[in-house]
Amino acid sequence: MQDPRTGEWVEERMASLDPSKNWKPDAAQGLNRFHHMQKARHRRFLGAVWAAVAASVAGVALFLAAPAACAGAGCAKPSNGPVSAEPLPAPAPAAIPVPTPEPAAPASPVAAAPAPAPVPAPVAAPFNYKAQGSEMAPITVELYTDYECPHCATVFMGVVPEFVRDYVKTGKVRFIHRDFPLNMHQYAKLAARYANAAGTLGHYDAVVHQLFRTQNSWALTGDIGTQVAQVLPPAVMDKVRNLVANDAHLDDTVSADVAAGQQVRLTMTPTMVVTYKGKTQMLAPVPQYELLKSYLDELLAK
Amino acid sequence: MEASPRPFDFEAAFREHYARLARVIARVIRDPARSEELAVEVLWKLWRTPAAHGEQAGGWLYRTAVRTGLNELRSRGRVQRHEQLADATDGGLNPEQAHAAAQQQEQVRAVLAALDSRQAELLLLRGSGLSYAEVAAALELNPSSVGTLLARAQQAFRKEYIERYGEQ
Repeated sequence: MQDPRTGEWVEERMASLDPSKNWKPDAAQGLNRFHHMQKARHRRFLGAVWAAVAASVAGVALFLAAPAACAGAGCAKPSNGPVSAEPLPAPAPAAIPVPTPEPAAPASPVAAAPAPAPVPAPVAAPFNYKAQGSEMAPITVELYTDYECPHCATVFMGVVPEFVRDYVKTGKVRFIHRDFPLNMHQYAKLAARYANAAGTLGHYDAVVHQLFRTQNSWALTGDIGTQVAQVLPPAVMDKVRNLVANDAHLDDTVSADVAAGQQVRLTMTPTMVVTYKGKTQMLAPVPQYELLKSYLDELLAK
Repeated sequence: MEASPRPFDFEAAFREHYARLARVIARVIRDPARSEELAVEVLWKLWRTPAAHGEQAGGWLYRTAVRTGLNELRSRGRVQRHEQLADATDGGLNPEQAHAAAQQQEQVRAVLAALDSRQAELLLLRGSGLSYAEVAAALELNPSSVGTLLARAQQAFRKEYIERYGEQ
């Protein structure tokens, strides 16, 4: 039988939990908070319904649309590797008309491109390591690439460095790199895993650059690790290998990027999506730097 | 002809139970502001659960409140992020007394978090001033067994407390 003092002993200690007598929870305030919560959750519910409807519509549209492809004739199936080991030629300037200087229609630098005119707003970058530049920048540029796509390498090596120097580091443009691995490329997804693993450890830019720079090597063999190891300290490389082998969530950002690309009806890689004052324009194929520069300058001058 | 059941007046239930629910939760987690937030969450759950509307709403609410509080306590682990002594205890304590009071609260909470959930719920609801009948309704117990179960919970509490902190 229980010692009668036990109840008293426990109650004495439980009494130490009594809240202050001065504290009086206000039901009216609580009710007010409840109504706010009710409205917020209702809005969230409606948002989810609309998102589901939009996703269904997008799904049907994608089903009807042609699948995305790698730009230009330089792409080859992975079993053959890239056609040429030489640096790939940049897209011909003649194929990319300069944006019309008329104020009424400045955002049409890719008249020859099959991309539709205004497209839905892009989805926010899932992780910061894929984004560079000020969040307050007036223009957002998203670049969709496939690591095994030769023209993506050309753009990344030939256009991006100057673009980042002149527009991203100066706060004029926020730049988001997005993955869009194509099924026709055997190792593109694996390369994206390496880049994203390095990204989670703070080495994204170095690895992305290395992947594009050495694309001709690893695209033949699939030995991506050897190339990536050249730009990372051994301890970091060990972690990257471990993440690539074991992290089940490493492809989450890729899935999010692919979904974002499908939302804007992306048809090829590389594709640049430029958003300015709520309007979005696709640049596909991506123009050479001088054309891109004149286009961005014109937007900024408006 | 059968009379149609009276519609459940949610706002009346909110006003009736809100303050007491917040105090039940505050006993578990100490932070008054968070307790009020969780009390609203509990009432939100009631609103979303038509099966709990009606006469049994009180029992359902206190059961949910004490479980919500215990979940919050356990999820925090030993993190002392809500050391709001001035808000949680009566004024008039000198710093040493305040420190001792805070220490005892943390010890009691640690023991409650370690106990079997049902026993912790029993102790907290009874300690919050609920009658045996209210405790029985909240925890879906036979009212005649509440006394026995409470005594067992007290024994378990004392044993755990003494094992951790000695006979203080």
